[in-house]
Amino acid sequence: MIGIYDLEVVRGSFRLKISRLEIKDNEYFVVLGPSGSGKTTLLNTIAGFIRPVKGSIVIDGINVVSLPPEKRGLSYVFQDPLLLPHLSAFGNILLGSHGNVDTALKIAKQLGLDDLLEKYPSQLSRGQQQKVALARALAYNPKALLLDEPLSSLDRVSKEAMIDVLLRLKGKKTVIHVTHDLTEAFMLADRLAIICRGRVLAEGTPNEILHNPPNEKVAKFLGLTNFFKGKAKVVGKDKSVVKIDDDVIIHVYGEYRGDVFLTISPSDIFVAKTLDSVTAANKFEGVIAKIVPRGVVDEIRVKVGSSTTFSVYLSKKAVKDLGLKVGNRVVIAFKKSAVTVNKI
Amino acid sequence: MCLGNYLMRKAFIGVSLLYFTVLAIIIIYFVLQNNVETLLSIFFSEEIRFAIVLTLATSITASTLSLILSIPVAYSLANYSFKGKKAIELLTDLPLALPPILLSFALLLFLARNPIVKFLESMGFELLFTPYAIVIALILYITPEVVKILYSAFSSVDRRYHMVLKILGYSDFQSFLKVDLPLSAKGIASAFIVALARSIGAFGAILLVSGAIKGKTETLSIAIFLNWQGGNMDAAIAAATVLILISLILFYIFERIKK
Repeated sequence: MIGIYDLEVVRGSFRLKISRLEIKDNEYFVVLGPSGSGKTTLLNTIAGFIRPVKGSIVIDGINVVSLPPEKRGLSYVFQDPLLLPHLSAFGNILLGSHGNVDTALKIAKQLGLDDLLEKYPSQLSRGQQQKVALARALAYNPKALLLDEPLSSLDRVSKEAMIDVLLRLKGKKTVIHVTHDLTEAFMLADRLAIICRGRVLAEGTPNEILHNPPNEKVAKFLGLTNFFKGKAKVVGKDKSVVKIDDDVIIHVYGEYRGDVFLTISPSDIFVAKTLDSVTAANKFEGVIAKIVPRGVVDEIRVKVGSSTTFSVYLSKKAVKDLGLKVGNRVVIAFKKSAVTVNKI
Repeated sequence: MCLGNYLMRKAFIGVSLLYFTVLAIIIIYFVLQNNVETLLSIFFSEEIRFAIVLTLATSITASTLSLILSIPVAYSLANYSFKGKKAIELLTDLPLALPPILLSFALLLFLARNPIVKFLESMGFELLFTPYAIVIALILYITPEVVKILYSAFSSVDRRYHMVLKILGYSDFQSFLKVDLPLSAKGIASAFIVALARSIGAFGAILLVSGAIKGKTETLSIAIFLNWQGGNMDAAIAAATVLILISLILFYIFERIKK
């Protein structure tokens, strides 16, 4: 296990502070954050390239803060493959295995690099180079593998191939993967931490974070739509209402009082022609303000009252069948169970 | 293309062509002064053979030693931060600004008055006015330039390679052997060739410490000087022609390395 406790790192005017972060054995842990959030600083501190001003990093029960990188038993894949240009692909993997040919061959085979071993980095595509860099890191048999945006410089095809390789590591190797890419993070992570301006804003499984973002910053970072602040009051046993504005009051499960924020997945909202046809606890009449194509679905933005807009995801076929157009009056509805409530 | 640009282009190219044409004419005219028969007989004379061997021996020795000395200096300057780094950088540059004869004069005084050198002389080991003094003078003369070339080579190695090797459990020295030396190989080879070329043609830097003694400390450049001074122009021209040949060979090797 890797544990990070009361860590504080200072780089110029930037300060990274983490009170507690634990990564279990064989867990694929993703650190997600925008540029400049401190995620690479965190990775470099774990690796031993940056010394924290305080705190501890415990790897398998040993505080490694005072150990140099070469004594920590970790390996690192950078954004750039950084293969040694004068060595073949196999020569580079051998660096990781410290000359152990059997280990190097085994790892190369696992990653499907058998045919590329004789080639030099300049003869490999970017994606192949990054695979060799990963093989080199794995050949060291590290206690944990640190990945710093390893997919960010790859084209779509190479990225997909690399994701397949990374998915195969899940459950077999402790991985700490740093990225700014939400899709990548949610696709790969067993658990993830969202980091911003040197602070951990959220930590949990992708489902926990997506469906129950702990605060407004996280919801905004995740680009969640249907995110509303309001005032809650209890109206019965396990029942509350949240007033968003004068026109919108949302019914929710649970007993909440005071300031809260709500999230509702756009996929959990449905559209009807008339109020009578809907039995859900939350239903509102509104006007379609905009229809935004989102790949296989369309995002329908429905304005309710004077200031609240809900986003609804509908298939393109449904939009066509319902004959939805900007300016149409429609009814939107969702169940109480579709609403996630968090106290501010 | 507008007229101004056209004129500027033609004028600048014209100056370049003129300069290199004059230089080539001087060298070709000089080589043509040789009478082939005389040249060959002087080539194989004992004096010139000695000068060739001494020049190559002292130059190769000095270049090798300078390279060995310069590698840690250049690597430190390129990779480490330490107290006195600026001073070392300044001192490395200083000999480049000094006239070579001054270097030779300073070394002459230093060696002549140095108690260790005096002790060695008392033990029968002569240093001043011997090939050893030439090697020491050459090392002092060429090392700044060797350091500069090596510094540039070591600085161009991506430091993240060191991070890659460090995290994979390699020490700094192993990283130096596996990353810096191979990735700087061209720079190291270039530095050696430049050092060799500088050493072979050195005159002012070795004149005073060598004593310019015929048959003892007579390198090719000193052979030119001694024969010119003694009025033996054929021998001076022959020695100079050998220098030109060696320089051309080194120039060819240098160009091959660059590619």
